[in-house]
Amino acid sequence: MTGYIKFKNHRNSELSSDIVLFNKPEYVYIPLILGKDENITLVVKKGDRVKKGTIVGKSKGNLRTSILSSVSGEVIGFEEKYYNNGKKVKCVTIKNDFKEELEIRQNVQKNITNYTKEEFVSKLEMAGIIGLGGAGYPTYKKYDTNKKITTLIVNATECEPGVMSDYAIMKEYPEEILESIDAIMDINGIKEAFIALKKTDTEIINIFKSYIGTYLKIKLFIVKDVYPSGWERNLVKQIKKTTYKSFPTEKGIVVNNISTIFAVYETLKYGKPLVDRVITFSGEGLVNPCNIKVKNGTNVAEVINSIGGYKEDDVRIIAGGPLMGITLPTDDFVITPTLTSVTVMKTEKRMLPSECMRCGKCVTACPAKLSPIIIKEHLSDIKRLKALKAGNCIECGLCSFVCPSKINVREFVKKAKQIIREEK
Amino acid sequence: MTKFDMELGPFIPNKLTTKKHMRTLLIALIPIIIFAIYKHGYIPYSNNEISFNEIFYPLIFILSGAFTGVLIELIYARIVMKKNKTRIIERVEKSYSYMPGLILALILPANTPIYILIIGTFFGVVFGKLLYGGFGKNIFNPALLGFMLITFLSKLNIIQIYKDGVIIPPFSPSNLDGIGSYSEIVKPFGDLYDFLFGNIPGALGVTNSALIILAFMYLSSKKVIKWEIPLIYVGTVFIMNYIIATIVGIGLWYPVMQILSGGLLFGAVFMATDPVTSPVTPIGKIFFGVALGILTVIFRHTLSHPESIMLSILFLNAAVSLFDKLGSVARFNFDRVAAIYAFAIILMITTSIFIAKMYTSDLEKVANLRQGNTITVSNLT
Repeated sequence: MTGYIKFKNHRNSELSSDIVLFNKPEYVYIPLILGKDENITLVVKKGDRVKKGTIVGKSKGNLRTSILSSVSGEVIGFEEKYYNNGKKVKCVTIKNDFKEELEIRQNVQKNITNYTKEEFVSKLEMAGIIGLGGAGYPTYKKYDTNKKITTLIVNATECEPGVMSDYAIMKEYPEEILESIDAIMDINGIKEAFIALKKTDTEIINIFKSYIGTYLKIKLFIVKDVYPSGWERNLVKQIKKTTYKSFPTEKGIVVNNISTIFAVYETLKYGKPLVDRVITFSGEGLVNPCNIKVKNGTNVAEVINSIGGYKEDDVRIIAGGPLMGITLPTDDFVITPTLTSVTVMKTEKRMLPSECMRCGKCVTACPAKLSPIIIKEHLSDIKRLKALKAGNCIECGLCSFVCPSKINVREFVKKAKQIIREEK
Repeated sequence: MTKFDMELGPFIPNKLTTKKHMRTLLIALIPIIIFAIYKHGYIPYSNNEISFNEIFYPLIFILSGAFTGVLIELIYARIVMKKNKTRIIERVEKSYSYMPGLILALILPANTPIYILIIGTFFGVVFGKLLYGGFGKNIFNPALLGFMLITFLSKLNIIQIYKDGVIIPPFSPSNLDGIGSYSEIVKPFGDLYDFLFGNIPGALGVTNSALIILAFMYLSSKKVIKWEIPLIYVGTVFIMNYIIATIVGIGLWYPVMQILSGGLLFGAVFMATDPVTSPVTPIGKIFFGVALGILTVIFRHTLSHPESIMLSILFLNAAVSLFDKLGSVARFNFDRVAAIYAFAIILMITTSIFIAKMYTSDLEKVANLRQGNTITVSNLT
């Protein structure tokens, strides 16, 4: 198979799948950003009292989504904090009063299928549910369509090496996940659902197998343990043998991350808004790598302190996994639903890049079928860049990983992608 | 106080480096070099043709090719980089200049005077590599450029590389156009096993097909060469010669002999795959291989040219960027590729038929061939 690479020990065998709690931050810093969109209307002011789920900001445009407070307490001001895109973003600072009051209270629903499609969509919107796989696309938008949805694909492949947050959720809440999928199918009239799992995650496969019996319409779909098998286009292609232009909804398919499915469950069952998530803290630079359930807006430095701090004095702190993540100049950055993991690595000296010998490994490695090195050679020729479809890059990092000359090819393709985007 | 280092991802180290890449290539060449010493040193010595000291002449020859390349690079770096020692060392270390001279030594006949090799290496490294800006930037295979110069000089009778009367398969003493019966073409050199194990006349390192096939498998398993190119190149030559042989009426031995002779395997594995001068896209590599095959067959059959491999590779080196232009875009559009695949196959078949017709028009010869063929079949089975 071209374009996919198997990483040894992608499930960090030294990392337990238990979930540690860190839910009492004194302050939270809610970043006013959604995806790449920083054009957020602020709806609270200094001194306002907020509860869990209170809207603090709203994005404009047709992807309108609310940004919610993750604690109850008082807005004490606004400050800039580093965000997982590597930049500083304006945040709402909230002092926690530890009362855990909810904005919207709701009785526990015995039967979570008792929603109409409209109620379901507005409930997800109110709860601020966004994709927890990393992209952060508003989940309600995927269901808010006139097109008939026929298939639900649940992405549980979690392919970045070392990241285990989905794994931990699956191990802890398999029944809830299945119930949630079943309810989503019922409410939206979806005929079939697939849970895409990695072949090597046998423990999880067995857990699901022992619960799946009564859910006749839910099937497990086993994919190879390669990177990036969790790429949405690849999953849709493998499972439904079809391709799409921009969104799988075009073909009546919805793809959700498995952690998102669990968040949907909590919303439908308890009315819980998206205020926290499980994040993997891993890497050789940490004393105690683990999976932590942590509130949005928590400062990463506090979390790392609480689990024993750093093993080394010189580290790289990476927002994200070791392949797609980026380093930050400080551990003083905020946790958001789009952050799947924090990786801390020893600072190691890199080899300097040497001349490209045109071995073509980046071309064979690219899962999006791009030709990274040719894109690099034609950075000044925008017409050629378009023909080379540089805009299709998914930034998986395989081209840079395989390069024997240690050229960071991905950065050039990213630049090309930007050139194309800016021209439009 | 914890210090946070900024660096661009990915953060998983990969052990494969260019240096290791080149080292693997060298390892693959070692058995071939040892065989060259055995065939051109030990055997002549045991036949009392040369003295003991001359056993290692092939090795000295090969090493002097490699050494010349490094020396030229060193002198050049010295001129360009003045006296900055670390930069000079780095430049020489990262230019892998021993490769062209080493490869050139292996594609020249044994007993070529060393000065000829040095001239060729000099030409190849200077005009094939340095003038383009060094390792990674050249268009033509430097070793083949050197070889081209040497061939050219020998055609002008300025130098002589093969002794008078030496004939190298796939051409035979009686059939210089490259086609004939088994007894005409293979018999003078032994049988096909002699072709496979290098017991035929030819350049220093190219005759032992078995060792080259092993090297190919080793390099492919280490993911060091673009394996598609040699596979498709040799495959194309085989299929085309199979079609020609079938039409002319000779046996399967003919295409087998074609791929085991004339340095085809060595050229396909070690020179057509030179990363710098071959396409990088999968589809580009496939068409590059097919084009090499077609050109080689045309050159061998129409020009009766023993240097057909060199010519094919050099010609197509010039077209590499075209192959990549096609290959990089065609990945998104299968219909377009399908048409070109079809075109390539048709071209292969029609060229083969055309060449075969050229031979079958000579009726007397065909009659002889078909007669000879009876021997062939029994020889193959």
